[in-house]
Order: sequence, then C-alpha cells, then structure tokens
Amino acid sequence: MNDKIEDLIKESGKKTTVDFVSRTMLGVEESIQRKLRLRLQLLISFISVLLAAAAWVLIRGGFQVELFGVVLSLPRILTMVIMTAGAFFSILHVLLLVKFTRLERQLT
Amino acid sequence: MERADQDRRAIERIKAGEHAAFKELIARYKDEAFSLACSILKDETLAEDVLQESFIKAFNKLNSFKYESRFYTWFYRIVVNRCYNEQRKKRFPFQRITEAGTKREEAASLADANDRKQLIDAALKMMKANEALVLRLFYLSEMKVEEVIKVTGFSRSKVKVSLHRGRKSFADILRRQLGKEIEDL
Repeated sequence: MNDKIEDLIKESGKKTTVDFVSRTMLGVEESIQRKLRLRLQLLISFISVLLAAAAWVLIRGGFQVELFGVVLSLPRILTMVIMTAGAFFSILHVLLLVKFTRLERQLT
Repeated sequence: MERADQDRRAIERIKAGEHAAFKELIARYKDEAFSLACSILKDETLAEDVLQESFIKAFNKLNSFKYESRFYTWFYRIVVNRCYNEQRKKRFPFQRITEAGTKREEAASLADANDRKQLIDAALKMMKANEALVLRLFYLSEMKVEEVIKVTGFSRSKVKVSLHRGRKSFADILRRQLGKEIEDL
C-alpha cells in the first residue's frame, strides 16, 4: 500500500509557471538594490549626525577642542565648513529618502 | 555529484558575490517547494507568490546558513513558516462558511476530475494541510522522519500520526474515486 501511495504522491508533483525563475531572480535583484539603498541612506544619515555633532562641539567649546589633553584651536572657517557639509548631507538624506520612497511605491 | 555538494558549491558562489548562481537553487527546488506550499495553502497562485517571497528571504539570509543541515531542509522550513503565516493572515470570522464552500468546491472538482493527476491533486486538496504536507515531504521529497520534523517543527509523534492518518485518508478518497484501478490500496 505504501509503495502505491508513494507512486501516486510522486505523480502529484506540481510545476511552477514557466517564467517563475526569471521573475524570482528579478525579485532577488530588487531586494539587493533595496538593501544597497538602505545602506546608502544609513551612511549619509550617519555622516550628517557626525558632522552636526562636530559642529556643536566646536561652537560650544568656543572653537577650541581638547583631544587627548591637547587643546586645539580651530578657525571659525573650519566650523563653517563642517556645518555647511552637515547641512548638505542632511538635505541629501531627505532628497534620497523622498526619491527612494517614490521608487518603492512604483515597485510595489 | 550529489545534490548537497551542488548546493554547497552554488551557495559558496553566491556568498562570493555571484548572484546569478542563485538561479541554480531556484531551478532545483522550485517544483518540490511549490508542491509543499500548495499542500498547505491549497491555492496555486498564492502558493507561487509565497514561494517567490521565500526564495528572496532565503537569498537575503544565506549568510546565516552554516551548513548545519541540508540546504533544502533549511529552505523548506522557510517555505512552510511563510505558508503558515499566510494561512494565519487569511483567517477571519466567517472562515467556517468559506471553508465549507471550499470543501464543496473541492469535492466537486474531485467529481469532475477526469484524469489521474487531477484526481490525486483534488484528493490532496481535500486532505488536512498538515497531513498533505507530511505526505509530500515524506514521499515526494523523500525525506526521513527526522528531516520532516526539522522542516515542519512538529513533534515526532505528530509527524508519525499525520503520516498514518494522511496515508489512510488519501487512500480512502482515491479508493472511492478511482475504484478498480487502485483497488489494492
């Protein structure tokens, strides 16, 4: 009886649609792209936070930073550069967020 | 070369960045995994969608696969979990009515089925999801009881009982429909 059932169950094996492999690979590629986008966003937001923190430390310390016991005096211009870069990355982060959200919506 | 070795090679290539090698794994396991998903979901379109998601999840989690089991055991476990999640999502208050309707449809499709394969399909659709799944894992995927336990997460006794009941109800349904052809079941 068991052999007969085995034969019948083997007969019942189903097949996916013809383009299943290519469709799934497309899904895999999309998921790789999504992961890359997420990593890029995380990197940019990390840089923005880092720059904002650096600018805040500089302003608070009266443009002087103490590193390993050594007091470094940094010119105002450097603070301005850091702040500008921080602002640039923050804007870039928002723009990417909008772009990627639109892209996600299109994909789904 | 054995299937496990072929899988290992493909996985190593994927981990090394050759994403196209995943095609090999998809081609190798798609049909068996599809049959398993159909056993639980009883809906081919939904089963194919769930299977696609499972392959994508497997691809993303491939780095966490440490060869502690065979690739297909690990992958079928993902498929089965996804199917049960999908089944849970589908549950709503008036399920009993739809279930009754589905049972009637399945019985009708069994009566209308004119070739053997259709009959077997309809019989498996009429069976309980757990029993159909265990039967397919055991006979179609030729898994040992230990592997069935790993894939389903059922206890040993539940697997054995499902296998016994599954065989019995499958044989009963088919005996009624196929008559002489399958008399010896």
